[in-house]
Amino acid sequence: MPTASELAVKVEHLSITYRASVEKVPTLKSAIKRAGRRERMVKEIAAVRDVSWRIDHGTVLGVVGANGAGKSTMLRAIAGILPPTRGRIEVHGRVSTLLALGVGFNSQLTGRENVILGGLAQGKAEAEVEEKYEEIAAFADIGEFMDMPMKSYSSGMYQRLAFSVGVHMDPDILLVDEALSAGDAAFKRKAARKMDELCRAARTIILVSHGMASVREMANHCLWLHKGKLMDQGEPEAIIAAYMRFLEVGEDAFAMEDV
Amino acid sequence: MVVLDAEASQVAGRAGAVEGVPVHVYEPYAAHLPPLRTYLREVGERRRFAYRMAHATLKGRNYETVFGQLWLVINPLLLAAVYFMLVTVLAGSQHRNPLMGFTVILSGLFSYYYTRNIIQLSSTSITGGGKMIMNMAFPKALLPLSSLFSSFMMYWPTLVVYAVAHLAAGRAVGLAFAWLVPIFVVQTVFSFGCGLLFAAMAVYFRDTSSLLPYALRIWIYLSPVLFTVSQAKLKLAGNTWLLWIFKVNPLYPIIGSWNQVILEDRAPDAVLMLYGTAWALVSLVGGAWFFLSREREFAYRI
Repeated sequence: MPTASELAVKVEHLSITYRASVEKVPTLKSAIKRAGRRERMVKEIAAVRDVSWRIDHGTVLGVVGANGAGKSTMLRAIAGILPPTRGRIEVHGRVSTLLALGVGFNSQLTGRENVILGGLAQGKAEAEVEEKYEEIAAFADIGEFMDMPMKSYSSGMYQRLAFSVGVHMDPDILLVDEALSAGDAAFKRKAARKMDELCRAARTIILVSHGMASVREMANHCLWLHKGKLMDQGEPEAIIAAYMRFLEVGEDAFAMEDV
Repeated sequence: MVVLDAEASQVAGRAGAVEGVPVHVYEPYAAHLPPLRTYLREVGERRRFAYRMAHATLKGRNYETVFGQLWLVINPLLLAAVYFMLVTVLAGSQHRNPLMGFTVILSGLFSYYYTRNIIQLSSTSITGGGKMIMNMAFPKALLPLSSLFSSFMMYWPTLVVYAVAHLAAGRAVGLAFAWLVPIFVVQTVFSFGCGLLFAAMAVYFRDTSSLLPYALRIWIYLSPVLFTVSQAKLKLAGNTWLLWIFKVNPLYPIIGSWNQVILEDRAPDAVLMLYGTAWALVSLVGGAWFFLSREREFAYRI
């Protein structure tokens, strides 16, 4: 296991640009219908622009910023889901994700099948996955629903299972995206205990959140992103204070002050 | 120190283990393609995923029960019966033994359905992959690969049914049947290439999976499924245009050579084999290039 003061994640001049479709559901039919009209149905989005930072193992990094700041995109790039457009990311250790969108390949399949498929897709051995499955099921504690198709789950059950999968994959680095609101009050306490446990075990956590309280409580380092750019980084208290002031005063005033 | 060692041994995207700690480096793709060797290795390591996924998919469609399995066989048999009626009743059979004529249709139809299933299942494999496409780092080609496995699991029971019909019709079985193995490989590679192409295409055009059945239906009439290659050549002689379309069709060499072996108990024409192999390679390279060069966009577009 990596110990503190070893490099965990290094992000150098990271930029991520992608083309997203403007259409809700892109179809061949609509493409043919607008052929010759020269309408552009894709939009280029620069989600992350030239961001650099590094953290050592044992850091709990809070990432704050308004909607569309590029927080989730950056997290997905660290997880290896989105390759960078420019720049370089170096990740030391096993990464597990706890992303807002939850787990599941196929909602027709049971929770058990989805958990096992998820483990296999991450390149784990079958025996290892089967073994982990028991721990995951016990922690999620959703009883017989584990063997029911995931489409029958309530959103709380979904989140409980997602949380349980994320923290039980033995991550060296855990990426968390707004997932702390998992489940009911009892499960929240259990989740918080587990997070504390992970923090103490010198694990590295990157936490993207709109909830300033959880960032303030857990993080010992903080990044502030705005429209894809890194505004500032440092002590959580100071960064959050600056961010809050920015939100109150508004962007323009802040830009003026900078000048 | 550990960090320095790790840095020295890094190549783009490669995971090296330094004192048990895996190191990942993510860099922009060169020429829009992920590093191929790493990609293939990762697919290889995760092949159990594709296998389990294929099983789970079939189970989700109730194909793992006794009646589900039975349906997998009955469905193509009924289809074969429909086509048999069409061909023998409307066109008049050349076979005195109706079972002989039936095996001609069965062998081509089952073989065609293997390719069709791979393409059709693949076409929804990425768009149906849902949240995992956005939430998990894994080579996405595993999803069409699992469609390939599903299709194979659906294909082999029909082969057993064919074998029974083949023997019942009193057709010969000889050494030439060993050719079925390379022909099967060629067909699988060709179909997988198409599967990759349509899986990626469905991300951009969501109606691909609803338009495909029409194209696939037309394809069956252009392929040597309801008739053999020699029958077609006889009928289409003189109609150069239609004959050209018939011959350009990749399934012409693939199913054609398959039928030559099964129905005529002989080695396939060398030209057909080479032609089929060429199509398989074109399909695999083209499909894989299209899929891999667009894979990074899947997460944004789903």
